[in-house]
Amino acid sequence: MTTDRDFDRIARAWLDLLPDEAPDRAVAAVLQAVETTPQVRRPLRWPIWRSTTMNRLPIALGAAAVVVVAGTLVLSRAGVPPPVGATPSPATTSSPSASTSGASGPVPSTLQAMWMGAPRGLVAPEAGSLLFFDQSTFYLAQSAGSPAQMLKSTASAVGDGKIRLESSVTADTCTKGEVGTYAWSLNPSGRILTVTEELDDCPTRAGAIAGTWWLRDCPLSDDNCLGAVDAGTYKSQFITPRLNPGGTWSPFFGAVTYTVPDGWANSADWPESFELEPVSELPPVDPNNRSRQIGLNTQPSAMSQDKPCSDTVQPGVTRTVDALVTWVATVPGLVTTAPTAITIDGNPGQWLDVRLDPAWTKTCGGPVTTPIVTYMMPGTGIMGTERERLILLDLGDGDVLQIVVWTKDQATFDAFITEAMPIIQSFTFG
Amino acid sequence: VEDLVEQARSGDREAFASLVAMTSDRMYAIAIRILRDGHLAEDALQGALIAAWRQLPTLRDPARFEAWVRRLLVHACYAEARRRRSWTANVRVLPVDGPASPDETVSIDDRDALDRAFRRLSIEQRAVFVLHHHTGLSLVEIAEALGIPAGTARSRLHYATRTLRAAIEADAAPVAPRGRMA
Repeated sequence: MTTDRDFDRIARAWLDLLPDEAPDRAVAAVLQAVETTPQVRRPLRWPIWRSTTMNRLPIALGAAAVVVVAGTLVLSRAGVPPPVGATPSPATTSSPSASTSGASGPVPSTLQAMWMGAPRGLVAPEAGSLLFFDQSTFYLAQSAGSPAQMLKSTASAVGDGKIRLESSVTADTCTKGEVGTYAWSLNPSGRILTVTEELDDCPTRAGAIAGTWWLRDCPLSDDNCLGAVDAGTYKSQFITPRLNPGGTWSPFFGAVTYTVPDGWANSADWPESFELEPVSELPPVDPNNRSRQIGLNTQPSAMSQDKPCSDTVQPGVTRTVDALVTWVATVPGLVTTAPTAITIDGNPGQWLDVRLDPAWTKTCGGPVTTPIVTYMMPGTGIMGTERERLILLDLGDGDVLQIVVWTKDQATFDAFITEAMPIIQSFTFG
Repeated sequence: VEDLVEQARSGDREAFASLVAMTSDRMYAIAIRILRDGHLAEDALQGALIAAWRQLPTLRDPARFEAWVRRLLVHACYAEARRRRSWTANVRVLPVDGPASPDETVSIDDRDALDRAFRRLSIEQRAVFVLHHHTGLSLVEIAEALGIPAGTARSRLHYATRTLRAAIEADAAPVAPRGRMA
């Protein structure tokens, strides 16, 4: 017989035979994936619960830190256009930087960035594509959900508006040493890149690169977004309106398509949430001091009112537009308008305007003493003199999307609604 | 660590990279012992750490970071095991990458018997066994880590121990003559 002590000793010794160190490639793969993977997060407009250690560095720098640790490239892009005062995007394009003229040289600074585009053959069918340039390197990646760097090439400028790529590895049907030459141009704001193939030994690379790309210029390190955009129509890359809470997220480029006029920004894009706001709300404005915003949240639930800011689901309120709207109108501390029908992209819904009862005095506790009512999960509350329009859409199959048009000051609400509703009515859902 | 967790859950990727550096070896050691396959263990490790990055803002107590990641890891191991439908048939004995000299504590016969018996355990039983005998967690800690009742953890550990112990003892017993050959 084996005694208990013998067995424990043998079992431990047997378990100890296996390695204790994670392979470097596994760790590097994690860090690369993190570079393009969004975090879920606490609601943006809950200052009570927000961390005070928010890192305000641009996302490119945050990503670069990971890249350094992973032993790969450092992204450095000078000359990214300022996010404020977006310029309209006419059909004509500007000449590339003068630094591109002459013989072979580094990739122009205006091109050194991450660029987001539609799905390409090398990425998952529903995922967006990410184009990466630094001063001497190029690769294509999936915009989220995969750490793989594809079509890795050395990159150099070879003349005015021309770039040369040479495969640095044999992979993705390209052979090491195969060369491609492309023409590129930026629109006047520098936010839209157009790449045209001139000649490429590797057809796969040509098919993946040629086309139109949007600058990924999210100003906050903890957000994933385009940042300021030119007037036009864009597609989301992370939000998945039909994703069940706790469900497994997978990339879904274009789950939300939206059209904005000049002066707007995509300020956040997460699996469960998405934000649009005027560029004047972007940093250096502190996110906690923003004053206007359109926010989308997937699969909202009624929030329990058993205690202030309870952060638990209210039992007995089903996730349907009718049930949620009816319930919101009964929440203590809220003053609501009558629900009104709305249809967006063929999806029926209802909206109602919400403000705080002036007599309401309850807070979430903690250092913030402003009266507040939190009423929807995730992340919808109203405090002080804020005002918001709550729109709930039935996307079918039990999926509900919440859209909130919010202003910090009641006095600006009507004017912002006038700006925001055409954008919301432009939404289409993939 | 708690400061790094705070920074990472606010989106600081560099802080998260530091956390990965601090925890990845321990997590990998658990995964490879549960899955008995280096490739599956790498996939589980990556899945767990990427999930940790994604979900970090929902972690309320930074002090519980490692326990929280360990739970994600075990669930990632479950997912890997189930994703590879034929994994139990394909589990292979890994080359010994531990002590440089032969370990006299566990004989080759014992090792072989344990390898074979371990394949017969469910992935849940394996997880409890590894967390107890390798990581050194108590049953209460295992229950808390995996989100299961302590009685369930005890039951899984008991079954796993009984199976592995029986395997060693059977291997050591003299071979009885078989009555009839097929």
